[in-house]
Amino acid sequence: MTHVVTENCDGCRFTDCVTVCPVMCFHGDGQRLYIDPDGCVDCGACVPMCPVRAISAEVDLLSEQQVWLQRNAELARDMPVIAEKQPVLASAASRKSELGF
Amino acid sequence: MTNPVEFEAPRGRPAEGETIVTSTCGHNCGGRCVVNAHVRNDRIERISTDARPWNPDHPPLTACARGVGQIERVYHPDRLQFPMRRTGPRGSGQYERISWDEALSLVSSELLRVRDTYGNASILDCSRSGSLSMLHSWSAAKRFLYMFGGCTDLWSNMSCEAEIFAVKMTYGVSADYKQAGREPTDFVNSKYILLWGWSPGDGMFGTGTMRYLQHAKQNGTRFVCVDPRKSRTSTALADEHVFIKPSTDAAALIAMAYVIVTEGLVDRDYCDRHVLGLDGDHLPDGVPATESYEHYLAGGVDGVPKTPEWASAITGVPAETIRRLAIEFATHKPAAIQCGYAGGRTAFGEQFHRAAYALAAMTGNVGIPGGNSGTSNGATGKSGINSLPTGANPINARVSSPLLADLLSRGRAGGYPADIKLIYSAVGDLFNQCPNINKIVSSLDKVEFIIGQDHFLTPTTRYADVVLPATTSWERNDVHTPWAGAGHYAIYMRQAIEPMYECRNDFDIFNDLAGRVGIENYSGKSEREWLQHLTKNAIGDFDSFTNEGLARFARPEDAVAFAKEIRDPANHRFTTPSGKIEIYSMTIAANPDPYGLGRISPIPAWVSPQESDSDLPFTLCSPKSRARTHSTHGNQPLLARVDPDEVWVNPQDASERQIADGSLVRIFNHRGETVLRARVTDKIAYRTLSVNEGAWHTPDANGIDRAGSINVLTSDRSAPSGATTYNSTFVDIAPAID
Repeated sequence: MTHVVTENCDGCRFTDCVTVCPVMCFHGDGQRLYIDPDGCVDCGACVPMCPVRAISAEVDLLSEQQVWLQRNAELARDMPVIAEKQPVLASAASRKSELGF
Repeated sequence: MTNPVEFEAPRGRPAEGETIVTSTCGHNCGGRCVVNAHVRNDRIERISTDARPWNPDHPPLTACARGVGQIERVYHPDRLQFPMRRTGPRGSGQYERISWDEALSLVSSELLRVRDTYGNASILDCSRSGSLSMLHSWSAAKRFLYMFGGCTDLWSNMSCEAEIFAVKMTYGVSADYKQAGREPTDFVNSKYILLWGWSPGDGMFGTGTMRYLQHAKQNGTRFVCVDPRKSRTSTALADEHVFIKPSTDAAALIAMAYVIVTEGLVDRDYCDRHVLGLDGDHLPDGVPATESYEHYLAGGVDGVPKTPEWASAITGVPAETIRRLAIEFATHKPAAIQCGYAGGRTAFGEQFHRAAYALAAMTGNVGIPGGNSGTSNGATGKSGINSLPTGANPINARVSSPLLADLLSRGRAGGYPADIKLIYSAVGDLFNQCPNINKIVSSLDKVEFIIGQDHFLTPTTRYADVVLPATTSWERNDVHTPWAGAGHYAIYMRQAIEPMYECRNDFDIFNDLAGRVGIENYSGKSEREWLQHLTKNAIGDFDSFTNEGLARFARPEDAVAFAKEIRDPANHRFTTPSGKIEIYSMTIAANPDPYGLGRISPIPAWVSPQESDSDLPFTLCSPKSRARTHSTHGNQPLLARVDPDEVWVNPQDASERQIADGSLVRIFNHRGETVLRARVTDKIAYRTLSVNEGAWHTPDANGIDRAGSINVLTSDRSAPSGATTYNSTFVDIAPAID
C-alpha cells in the first residue's frame, strides 16, 4: 500500500508535501515529484499539504489514475530524494488556477 | 521474571544542531507507532518514523498521519496556557486567568465540600483514554479519586465491552479479549478470511496489521468483507464485498450457522471434544435438548427457522449470498472470521460476537493455525509492563458508560448510585464521546462543579468551572505499550521539549491536589522512579530502554489463542464452567441479567434492536476517522483533510432524497440534529448512512450541531453487557440550506 503523486504535480512542484513525509520517500526531477512505494508507509500526512491535490492513496485512485502507481514506482527509483521544500516552478501559479484550485 | 529484551533505536541520524527524540502517540488509536520528534532550539520541527523495510518477523512500527500531525497539535494556537476560572455561562468559553495556587485551592476545596456534603458517589470520574500511557494518564485520575474515598465510575469499555463480555462467556473467565485472537503473522496461514466489520485500513487494529493482511493476500488467501461500508480494507483486499445493514450482523451469522448445520458441514469431532451447547447431546447435565443452539436454529424455540431467507429480510443481504458464504467458510479450512468491535456497539452487541465465535467453533477453526476465535486482537502474552496502580474504588458506585446522560439527568431517582454534583474530567472528552450529547449538556445544571484538565477547551472542558492546562506527552517522560495487546514491544516516550506555557504534567497535578486534600503517599517517587518501577518486570536495563527508545519482547509460543486448549484439552481446559468453548453459556444461564441492564439468552439468539425511533428509515453507523483518535486531533484543520467529515449516502438514497454530492444535509432524530456535507458514494449500503465519530460538537444558536458530531443522534442506552449502542441509531436525512 502506498500513496502516489498523480498528474496535477506536473508543472507545479510545490514540494510542501516533502516537509511532512516521515520517511522521506519523495523523489523528483525538475518537473514534478514521485513517491517511492517501497519507502512509503501509507500514512497520508502529505495529502493535505498539496495545494493542487496531486497526492492520492492507492485505494482512492480513480481508474484513469491507476497508471500512476507504476509510474511512481519506476521513476522514483532513478531520481534523487527531495526532503526539503524547494522553490516552486514558474508555471505553478498558472497551472494551479488552470486546475481549478 | 524478565523476558529477553532487544533494544532498538528506530530513528535516523540527526542533522547538525538537531536532536531526534523517539516517542509515540499516547492516545487511544489502534496503533502504537514510532513517532520521532526532530527538535531544534526546544521546538519540534519535523516528525519522522521507523523507516526500516517491512519484515514479517521484525515489523517496523510506522506512524500514520496523526503521528505526523502531532506538530500541529502541540503548537496549536488554542492550546490551554494557564489555569482559568469560568466567568460566563457554562459553554460560553468565557474564562479568566488564575494562578495554579488559586486553581488547585478552588478544586481541592470543592472536592472536599462535595464529598463532605453529598458523599463520594456524587463525584463522577469522567477521565478517559485521551492518554493511555503508563503514568500520565487516566490511571493518575483514578488513583487520586480512589485514594480520596472513591467516586462513581463509568465502568464499561465504550469500544468493545460486548466483545470483552462475549469472550469471557464463550472462552472463559480467564480469557482476555486482548489475547483471544491471533498474531498477524498467522494471517498468511488462512485459506479464507472473513473480515466482518473489521477495517484495520481505517482503524489500525495494531501497527502494521494491514501490511500482514496484504502479505496473506499476496500468498493466495481469499478475502470476503461483510460491512455496511466498503471500507479501505475492503477496497484494498476483498475479493468480494457484502453490504449489510448496521446492527443486524448477528442475524446473518446465525443464518450461516443454520446453513452449516443443515448442509452437514459442522466439524462434529471437534465439537464433541471442545464445544458445549451446539447440539442437544452436548449440554450441561439437566439442561434439556431444547436449549441447544441447533434447536434454536431449526426454529424450535420460536417457530421460525433461522434460514438465509429469514436473515435476508433483517440484514438486507441476499439469502443466496448468506448461504454461499456459509458454505465457503465451512469448506475452506483453515478459515478465519475476524470481527471488529462495531457490530458489538449495538443494542444487543454481545450476541453479535457470540454468534461469530459460534461460527468459528462449529467449523473447528478456534485454536488452530490459520483459524481464529472470531476476535481480532493479538494472541500476545503480557509483557509485564504495568500502568500506574489505581487501587480499587472503595465504594460500589458503577454505571454503564453509555448511560452518562441518563445518570446526569436522573441520578438517584433513576436508580443510579447518586445525584452527580462534581465531575472531574482529565484526559477525556466524554460529553462529546458519550451518546446523547444534548441530554448530557442539558443535565449539567444539576452539577455544582466541573473540573476540566486537558490541552484544549474541548466540547467537555468548555463546560468546566475550572480549567487546568496539562502538558502533552512531548513535554514529559512516559512509557507506552501496544494498543490492545497488538504486538510485543514497549516505547519509551522521551521528553522532547520543555513544558509549554504554564502547563503541568497530569500526574503532578494530581500529586499536588493529593497534598491539598490530605491524601498521603499518592506518589513518593520521581517520574523516572515510577517509570522504572512500572517496567521492572519486563525491562531490567532501564537505561538502555530510555536511550534506545524501543524494547522488543519475545513472541508467544503459539500464534493463535487457545491453541493449547485445542491441542491438549486434558491439561488445558477453557476457563468456562464446562471447560469447553461455550456456545451455550452456563454463566449466562445462571445469571441472565448480570448488570441489571437486560436479559441475555444463554445461546447467541437474535434480538431485534428495537428503539423508540426505529421507524426512521436510515441506520447510522459511525466508524473511525483516520484524521482523529476518537475526539483527539478533532481541532486540527490540516490533519482533518486526510479524512474529511462527510456523511456517506448511497446513490439511490441520494436520488430519492434529492441530495447532491457535496451538498449540505441535515441528519436528525428526536434526540438531535447535525448538519454536514454529503458524499454520494456506492461504498455505503442503501438506507445506511456513515459519519465518522469524534467530530467536536459545535452547536449553533439554535442548538443544532454544525460539525457532524454523531452523538447528538445516538442513544444513551446500554446493551445488556454494558456495551455502547452507537450503531443502533436510527435517523432521517434531508437537504439543508447551504
